[in-house]
Amino acid sequence: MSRLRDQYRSELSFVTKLSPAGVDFALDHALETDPSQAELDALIDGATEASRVVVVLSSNVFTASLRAIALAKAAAAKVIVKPSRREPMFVRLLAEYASDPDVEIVKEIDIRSIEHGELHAYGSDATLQTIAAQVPNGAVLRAHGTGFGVACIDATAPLDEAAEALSRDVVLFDQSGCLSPRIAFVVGDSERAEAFGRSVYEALNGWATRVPRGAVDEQTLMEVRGYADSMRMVGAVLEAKDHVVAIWDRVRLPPAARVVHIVPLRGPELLDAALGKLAPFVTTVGAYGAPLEMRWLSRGRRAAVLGMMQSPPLDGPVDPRVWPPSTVT
Amino acid sequence: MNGQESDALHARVQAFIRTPETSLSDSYESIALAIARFQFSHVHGYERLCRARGIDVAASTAHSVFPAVPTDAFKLARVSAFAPHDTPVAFRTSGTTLGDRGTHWFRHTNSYDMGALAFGAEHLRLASTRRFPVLVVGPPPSELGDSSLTHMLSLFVREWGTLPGETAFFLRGEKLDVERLAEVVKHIDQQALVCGTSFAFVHLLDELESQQIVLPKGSRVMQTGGFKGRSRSVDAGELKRRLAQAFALDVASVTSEYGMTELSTQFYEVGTSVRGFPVYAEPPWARVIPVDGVTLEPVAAGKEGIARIEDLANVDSAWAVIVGDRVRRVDGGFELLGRAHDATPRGCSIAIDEILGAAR
Repeated sequence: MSRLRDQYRSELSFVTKLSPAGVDFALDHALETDPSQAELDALIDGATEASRVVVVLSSNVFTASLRAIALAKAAAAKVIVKPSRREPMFVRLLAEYASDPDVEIVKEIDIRSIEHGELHAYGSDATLQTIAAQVPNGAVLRAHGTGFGVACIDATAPLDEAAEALSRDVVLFDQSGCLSPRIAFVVGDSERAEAFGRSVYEALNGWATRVPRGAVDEQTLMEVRGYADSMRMVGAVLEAKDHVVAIWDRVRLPPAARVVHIVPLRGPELLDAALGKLAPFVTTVGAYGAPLEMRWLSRGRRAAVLGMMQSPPLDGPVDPRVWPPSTVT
Repeated sequence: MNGQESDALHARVQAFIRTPETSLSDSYESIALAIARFQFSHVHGYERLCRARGIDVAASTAHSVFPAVPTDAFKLARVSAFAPHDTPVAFRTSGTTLGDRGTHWFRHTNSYDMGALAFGAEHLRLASTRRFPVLVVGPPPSELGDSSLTHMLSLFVREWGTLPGETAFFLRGEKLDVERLAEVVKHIDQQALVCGTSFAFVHLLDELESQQIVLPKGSRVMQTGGFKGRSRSVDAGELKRRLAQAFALDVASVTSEYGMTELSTQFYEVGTSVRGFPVYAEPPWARVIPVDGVTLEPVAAGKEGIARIEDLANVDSAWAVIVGDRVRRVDGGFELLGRAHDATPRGCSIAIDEILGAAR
């Protein structure tokens, strides 16, 4: 694997826009190569048997293809994978490495021709709607949409440690994953939230040298500029070359480029109310310190320990929500 | 105290609107600098934005160093030099179903009205008569009183029009009254001005199918607004052609207006560039400057950038705003190139636009 990694690091960096160190970081911490038996059992238990599974990947983070194929294999022996046009390489590498003759990689797939089995589709809402409109009646669509993660720092959490853990989750994939935290709630008052913001800013400074941010397109940079300037009008902003931390008492979804929006919260039970209409788009809640006690916060989403939000166990889809995300259970 | 300062600035702006070419004693630059300093002192968020940019307000002698406020800030903050009880007029953006509607607060609309009428007259007013029929394919103020567009159109109806009050408006309870519009037009014997949003016009065209509402020769049609958040959109050129056909006019009689809630000034289409984009003119009291979307510095001449719009009539809110539209300076005005490109998706993290789309 390390030979493959050395061979393909730059190419993966080019197609994923992550820095080479970012590619390594993702491979080290977000590729589930060593699942436990219990996790695999859960993965298989959650799958329904199908005659075959067609997997259509689009805008996922690159390592997510492993879980996508594992989920498909849990449902059917025969799996056909159409990788993302932008990033077809990692799936091909996985297939080569696994050398499973029943996993077929195809360049194109006609959704209308899938007359039986399951279709596992990944992508944006628009992509999934297009696919959903084409799936024949005989096939079952399992759609996995986009989303974002939130962090919740409870009232007793040590701020520096929580900030370091949150930053790790932010740095993985440069926030481009559907589990990536973009909003962090800090239980306490504005001063505590600001102190946490400073800690996150410092922690991200440290990460910037260890795992530099990858290439960010101009439109996203413009969004970051607009977000930071808007936040300056209302809250506190800490801005470095490659990351921004803003603290405000209301929720705002920041652009995904190592930009963290921090909100003080009177109590964790108010998290969903604070999220308002953004709540259905939350895939996971990462909590610091007391994940079991705060598990109920997830309300149908994945609950995670802060610092491990991007490394969920291989026990099923990363995103347990039902697509389309219209309601929170 | 800031009321007096504001009044004095409004007076300077209104004098400039009245006679910009002969205002030798006052210039765009000096008024802009004075307004920027006023807003630094009285618009709380703007002070923070200036400080973050390291602006030395006392030492700055150029208005252009002062930052522009992102239009998004109107959704988040009260971008106003005055307290709520001093700003009785509020125009709100159409907003999104996520609930963010921007609000532009006004103490009064004197400068807004003066500018809208002056520049509107230059581009829309029909020279043949003092008053002429102004017909609005849109809702009346009683139904949409917090819309800056409705305010402007009702101003045109009141100051230029011949139809009394809300009878000039042909969209009520979200229902387009095509029959009444056709009936009113049938009895018009002079040049008329028909104004409406692109979206309302599309519905009018749908209802008319191939029928025409024949306007007297020399009449004008003004369309404004895009299709943001709407389920249907029609190419701007095609819409113009179809409107011209529906009202029995030539295409040149259909003009477009470009404006937004966060501004007090509007821009009018004056032609098409060699590249095929609409070219808009700005009045002397407003400037549209293409800037780099990241550094916010003006781009080189002839290059495209996002629009930094300076509007002296925005005395009490934000004299300069950054909007998401791409523009390029050309002879006679600026090309409007459309919204900035979408970011390239890099993963499964949801984009803000996607949430807005899903929530519609």
